[in-house]
Amino acid sequence: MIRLADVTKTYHVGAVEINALRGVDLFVADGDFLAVMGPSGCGKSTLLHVAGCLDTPTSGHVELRGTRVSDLSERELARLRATEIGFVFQTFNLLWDETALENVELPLLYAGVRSRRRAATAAAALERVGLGPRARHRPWQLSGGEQQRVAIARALVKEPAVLLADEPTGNLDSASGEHILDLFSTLHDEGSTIIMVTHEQGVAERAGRILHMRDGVILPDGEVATG
Amino acid sequence: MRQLRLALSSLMRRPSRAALAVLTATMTVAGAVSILGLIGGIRDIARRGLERLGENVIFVVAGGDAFGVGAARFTLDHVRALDELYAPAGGAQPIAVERCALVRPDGSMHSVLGVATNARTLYYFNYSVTRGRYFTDGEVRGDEPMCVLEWLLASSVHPDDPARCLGEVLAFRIGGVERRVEVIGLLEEPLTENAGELIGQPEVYHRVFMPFGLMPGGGEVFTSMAVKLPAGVSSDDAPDRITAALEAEGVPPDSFEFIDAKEETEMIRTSVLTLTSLGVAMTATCLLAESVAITSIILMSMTERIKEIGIRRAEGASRRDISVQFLFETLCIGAVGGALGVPVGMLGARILAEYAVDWPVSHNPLILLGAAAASAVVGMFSGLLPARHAASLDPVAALEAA
Repeated sequence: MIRLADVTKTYHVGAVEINALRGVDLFVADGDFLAVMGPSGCGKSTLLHVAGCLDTPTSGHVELRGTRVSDLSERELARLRATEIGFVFQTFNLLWDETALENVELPLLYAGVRSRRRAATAAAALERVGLGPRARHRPWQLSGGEQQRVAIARALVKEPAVLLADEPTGNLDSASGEHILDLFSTLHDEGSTIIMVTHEQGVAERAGRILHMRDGVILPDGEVATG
Repeated sequence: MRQLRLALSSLMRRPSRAALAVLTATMTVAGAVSILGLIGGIRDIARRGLERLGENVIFVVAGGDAFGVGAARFTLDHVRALDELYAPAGGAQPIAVERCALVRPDGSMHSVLGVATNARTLYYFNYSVTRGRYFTDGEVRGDEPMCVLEWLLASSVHPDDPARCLGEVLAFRIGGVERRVEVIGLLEEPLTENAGELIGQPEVYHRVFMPFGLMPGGGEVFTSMAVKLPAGVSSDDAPDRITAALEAEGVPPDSFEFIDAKEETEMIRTSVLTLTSLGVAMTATCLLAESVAITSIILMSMTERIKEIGIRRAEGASRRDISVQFLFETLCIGAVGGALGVPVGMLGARILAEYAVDWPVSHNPLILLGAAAASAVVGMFSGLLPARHAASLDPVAALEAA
C-alpha cells in the first residue's frame, strides 16, 4: 500500500518558483495497476519520484506499507529504495559498462545480499523476463526492448512493494512496447503493485485504473487533462 | 570489502582513466623515492665521514705566521703531558702530516698525504681495517718500513683489485728521500670514489698511514697532536687546559692553534639536516602533486559518471555508499601508484646516480614502505573532494543528466 497525503513539491529555478505538485492525495492498494496520465510538465514524473523516495515532498507526507517515509533518514530511505521500490525508467538507466546480470544485482548489492545469493537471485529475475541467455551481455549489446526488460528485472529482483514505471515504452518500437506491457500485465496478475506514468492512452489502458494530472494536481475521476 | 570490490570493478571498467591516475601516482611516488634514495646516499657518506672523525677529538696544530715561522714543534714530551691531562679515559696522539709521492710500478708519481702516527689511530678515529692489520706499538719507530693504505689509494695502484697491494712493497718519496714500504693493511672502501669531495675533504680517502719513525724527524718532532677527551667531557674548556699544560712544557701559547672536530662534525650534521629537510620538502611536494593530479582526474571523470551516481542512488546507494566508493577508488589508485612507484623510483635513483650525480644511492626500507603507504593515504585524501561532490548530487537531477 502506498499513500500520498496533501503532497506538494516546489522547485526554484533561479528566481522562478515551479509548483510541480500542489496538494496531491493518492492511495494505491497492494496489487493495483495504476496509470497516471497528463501532458508534459504536469508533475507525473515528480509524483513518481516522490512516491519512490527519490525526492522529498515540500509538504505533506508519503506512506509506504504503513511507514511514514518523511520520518526516515537519508540512509533509511536509501535502504527502502534498495528493498521496497522498483524503478523502470524511459531511458532504461542501466550501467553501461556492467553486464545485464550485474545491473540486476545492483539493488541487492546495496541491500547487503551476499555475493552468491545475489547472483542466483539476479539470474532468476532475468529468467523471469526472458533474458536468461543474455545475462552476460552488456547493455550496448542488447536491443532497446531487451534493455528495458533488464531494467524490469532489476526492479523485480528486490520483490518491491511497488513498481514505479516512468514512460516505460517511450523509447521502444511498438512491438517491444507491447512486449513490455504484456510483462507488466503478467506481473500485475501475479500480484505486483504498479504505478505507471505515461502520456499514451493506449498504454494507460493496460492499467486497471487511470488517473489524470494537470498543473500538479490529480483531476477528479472522469476529468481528462488536455494539451 | 564490498565497497572495495565495487571501487576496483569501477576502475577496471574505465582502464584509460585508471591508468592515467595510477601513472600519475606512480611517477610522483617514483620522484619522491628517487630523491630520498639520492639524499640517503649522500647522508650515508656524510655519516661515515662523521664516524671517521671520531668522538670528542680536538686537534692541536702547529701555527706560526703565514710562513710558518714561530710554529710549534711538538715532541713526545708534549704528547705525554697531554696524555696525562686526560688519562686514563682520554689521551693524546702525535700526528705528522707530510705531503709525499707514491712511485707507481710504471715510474709515474702520485701525490698523496702521508700521515705518521702511532698505533692508537684506530682508538682515536673510527677507521676500519678491512684487509691486513694496523701497525703495533712495537712498530712505530719504523725499523721495519710498513704502511696502511686508504682503499682508494690502493685502487690507484691496482684498479682491478686494490687488495693485491697487501704484502707488496711500494716506493714512497718522503721529504726528498725514497723509501720502500711494505703494505700491511688496507682501510675500508668508501661508499663512492668521490666520497671525500662530497664531504669537502678531497684527500681524506687517499692517505697513507705510516709509523711516525718513518717520517722526517725520525718520530721525534710532530706538526700536530690529536687529543681525545674522555666521554662526557666538554671540549669548551679543553683549549685553556691544553694551552696551560703545553705552556708548562715551554711551548708558547701563540705557536699553535686548535681545530675542534666538533665544529667539523656540526658542519656535516647541519648539511645532513639541510639535505634531510630538503628531501622531506621535495617528498611533500611530490605527494601534494599526486593529490592534486588524482583529484583533478577523478573530478574530470565525474561529468561522465553523474548518471551512474543517479542510477546507484535510485537502486539503493546512500550518500555514504557513493562517497565511500569514490574514496576507495582513489585509495586503490594511490596504493597501486605507491606499489609501482617504489621500484620505479629505486630504478630512477640508480640511473640518476650512475649518469647524473655520481654518488651512491641508499634506500631505507622503512622509508620505502612509508612512501608506498603515504601514497595510498594521499590517494584516499585526494578522493575527499570528488567523494563529497558525488555524494551531494541530487539523485533525480543525476538521473536526468545526459
